[in-house]
Amino acid sequence: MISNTIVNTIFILLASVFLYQTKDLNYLSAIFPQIISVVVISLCTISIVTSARKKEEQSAVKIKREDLLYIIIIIVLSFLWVYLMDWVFGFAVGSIIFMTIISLIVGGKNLKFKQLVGNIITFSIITIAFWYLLAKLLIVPLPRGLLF
Amino acid sequence: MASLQYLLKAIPQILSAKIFFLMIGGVGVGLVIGALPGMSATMGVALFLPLTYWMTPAESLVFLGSLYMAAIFGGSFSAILLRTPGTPSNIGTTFDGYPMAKQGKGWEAILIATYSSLYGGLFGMICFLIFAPMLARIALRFGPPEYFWLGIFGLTVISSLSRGNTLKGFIGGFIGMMISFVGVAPIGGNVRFTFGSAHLISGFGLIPALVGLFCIPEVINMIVQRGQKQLFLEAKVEKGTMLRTFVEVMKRQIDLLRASVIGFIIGVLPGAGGNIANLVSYSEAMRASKHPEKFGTGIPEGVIATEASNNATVGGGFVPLMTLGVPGTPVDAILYGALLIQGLRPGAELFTTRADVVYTFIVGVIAATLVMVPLGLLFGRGMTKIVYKIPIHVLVPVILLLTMIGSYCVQNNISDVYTMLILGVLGYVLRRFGFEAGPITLGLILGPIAETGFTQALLMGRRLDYPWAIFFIRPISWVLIALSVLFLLWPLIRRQSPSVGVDRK
Amino acid sequence: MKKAVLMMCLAIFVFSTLLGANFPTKPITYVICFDPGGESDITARIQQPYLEKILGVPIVITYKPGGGGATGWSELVNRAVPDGYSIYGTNLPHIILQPIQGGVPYKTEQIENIYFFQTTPCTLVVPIDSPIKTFEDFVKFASGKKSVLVGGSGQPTANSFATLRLAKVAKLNLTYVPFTGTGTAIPGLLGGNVDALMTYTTVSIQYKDKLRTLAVATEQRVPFLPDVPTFRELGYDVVEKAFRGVAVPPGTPAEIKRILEAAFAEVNKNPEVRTKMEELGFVLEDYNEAEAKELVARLIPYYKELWVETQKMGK
Repeated sequence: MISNTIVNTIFILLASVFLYQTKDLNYLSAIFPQIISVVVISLCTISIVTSARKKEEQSAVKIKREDLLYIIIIIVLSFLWVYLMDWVFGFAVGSIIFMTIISLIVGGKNLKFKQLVGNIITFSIITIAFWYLLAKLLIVPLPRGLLF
Repeated sequence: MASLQYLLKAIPQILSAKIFFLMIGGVGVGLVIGALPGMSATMGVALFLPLTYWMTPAESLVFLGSLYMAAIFGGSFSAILLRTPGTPSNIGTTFDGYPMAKQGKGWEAILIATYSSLYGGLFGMICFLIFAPMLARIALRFGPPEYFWLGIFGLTVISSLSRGNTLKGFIGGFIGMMISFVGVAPIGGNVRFTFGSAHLISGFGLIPALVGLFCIPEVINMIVQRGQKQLFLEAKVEKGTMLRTFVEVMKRQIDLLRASVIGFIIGVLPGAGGNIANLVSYSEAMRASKHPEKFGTGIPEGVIATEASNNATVGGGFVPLMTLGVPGTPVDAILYGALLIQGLRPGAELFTTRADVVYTFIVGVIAATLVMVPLGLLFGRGMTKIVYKIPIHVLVPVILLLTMIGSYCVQNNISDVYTMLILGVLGYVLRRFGFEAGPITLGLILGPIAETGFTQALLMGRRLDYPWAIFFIRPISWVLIALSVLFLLWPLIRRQSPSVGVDRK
Repeated sequence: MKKAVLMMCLAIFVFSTLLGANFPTKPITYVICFDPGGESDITARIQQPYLEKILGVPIVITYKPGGGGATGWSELVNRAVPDGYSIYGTNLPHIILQPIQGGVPYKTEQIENIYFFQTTPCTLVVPIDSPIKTFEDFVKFASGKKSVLVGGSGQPTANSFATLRLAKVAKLNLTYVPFTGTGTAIPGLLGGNVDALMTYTTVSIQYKDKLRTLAVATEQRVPFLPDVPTFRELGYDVVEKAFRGVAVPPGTPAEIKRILEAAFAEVNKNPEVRTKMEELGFVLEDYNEAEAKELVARLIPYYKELWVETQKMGK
């Protein structure tokens, strides 16, 4: 199968990069990664060879294009959430904002206004509860951003 | 018997209002922390440690011990309901627990997990009381070559973990090991494979990886199912399920015993804990079973195997801590610090000099294991209802928040959150190509153990004429090598004996 | 953007500190760059109540572990606000070695240590039931052997360097076996996997019923180990210890540094602190900012050389 070959080739490349990088390391840091890299390269080669020989059974169901779009949007939003939480909004405000946005996107048309308000209240309660527990009781330095 | 006398003295201590209250508090906190995806037992104990500095030694230990025991149990809730191991000790619970939940039997799975945890937890603590000094001596025989072989033996578990394609399972396991190489080399001290990123110096943490690899793909699946109202429907719960399940679980004495013994022994070894024990126990249950092909489809044996073993490691881990003063697991390392700060020195003499503290602690943790059942059932029932009832558009953001908090709090570091998200996306892609999260995480866990053992053993080998011979001249190593070979070849052996042979597709 | 934000904060805080010369007026955060329950945490917890009494404000201890302290020290240099309200625990040789090894986003010179208050000298230990009773016995045992295994915590650390140095000056074939910490090194020794441990005074004290300390790598004998000779007394020039101190973010006003420096000096003078620290095996030291700077400058070339030597080992 082509996908199998591609994934295994990527692994072989990765292991080769690791193997190449060990040249700058001292013996004790290098020896074990070298062995495992070689093992990975050989196993992946075996996998490519055997899968080329026999017809593989069809793997998981295909994702629809629309679903893929949703997945990508939410993942991008998650990264944005972390970034803005760290540099701009701080933990509490950032989380409430992004949880609401993600909830809106996932809920889509099914989401009624009343529900949305309910969701925002729920998210706020959860976030603030965590904020209080972590920042105030357990003195964990949470991301502060610019606001507080 | 002097210890019995101390034990009896400790019981009224536990019943004193303050300690009892702290124990319940510890169990409650532990359950919640364990059940939240991404909050592990280690993190829970570390987070709450500073709060215990003003307590007396006995209070502090009972609180942290109860928290520890309950967190290991609570981790099964999210493993069952969300396919996300709450702690690394619950990885195997996702294999059969989640399919059960999908079939609407989430509550039943939680009941099984509860009773198995109770059994394993009590078994571990009682074995700790009886066998501690003897076992500590055996644990000391475990040197670097043995740790290397333990790592290899652990990998053989993959041959039973990965359904369908064993080769892919092993590739996944070794890729996990490669991920564990990133950062500072444990023995050589070089900074390696960071590709110039300062974030990666501390490497890929186990918790961010665990949360990412297991939880993010589930979140993505939820997004795909966003049209539905809820994640899955709950089957009707019949009356008397609680009692019936209890009887059913207790009938499986052999399964429970096997899992608990494995958990206890692995717990005793410094450096190995519930994260390995639950997977080894799962694979052993499969090997012993008459119908191994049913594992992974949602059968009680799978949940019993992992949940009894991981709670048994708690008692096992106390063995080196309390007899040698050597912390065997990360949680025990924090407990060691807790003892020191209280002005106590962990070790065998603690049993004589501060017997009151030690036995109050032991009795306290045993009591916590018992208290864990009603509290856990209450909490588990609530969580089941919530997960079955909550609409997906609420579940997705809340779970994302939890994954972020979980990976952040390991080191109070935002870069761990990025790591978690990146590994999550990667994990989803790999899962679609048939590389499951289980073997990858196992590789990540075993990588440092195997590498440390391997490199140290090579240094030890300098005493010999042929340094590499060190791996093959020690009796415990022989046992581990034999077991590894046997387990690796097990699928072949099984196929050849027609009596137990099950034709695999 | 990050820089602009930082500059702004800096400007605000410098301004406000110039206006209100009295420091401190709000809680001070004491960041520990290791896990809770570790030696750094324990030390800070002992200091905490006395610091609070002297400075008159609460001291809040938080944790920023990771990368053997590197995560916390990177934050200290790159993100922390230089207003004196966040102080970070630092360790030698860590803050010298990590930049030498490379990959960390801070330089040793950027860390403004205001006080080194404590050291843990290296000690050579064997199991209590070992036939090796003194360091002379150890030399006798080791001389002529193909390889004698000496365990210790990590590499490169004070332990690994002390072993390296001892092998050189005593002309012994010592192989240093790094363990991931004292928690794994001690079972390694008790189980007979290594012949001896190069470890710290804290271990010598905390495990004194299981381990015998043969020698200590200090200039003078350590007060709580009066019977243990120093390597120097025995004729081997091995002095190696790990320091623990406290630093402020670069750019912290000098008068604030003086106040904090004085506070830590006063804590160290307290007899209760002394007893508590010595019971755990810590040696109290006093290096104020100038002395600390001089110490670090002196140690940098020394550790660079040792690191190069370490790289050559192993093969």
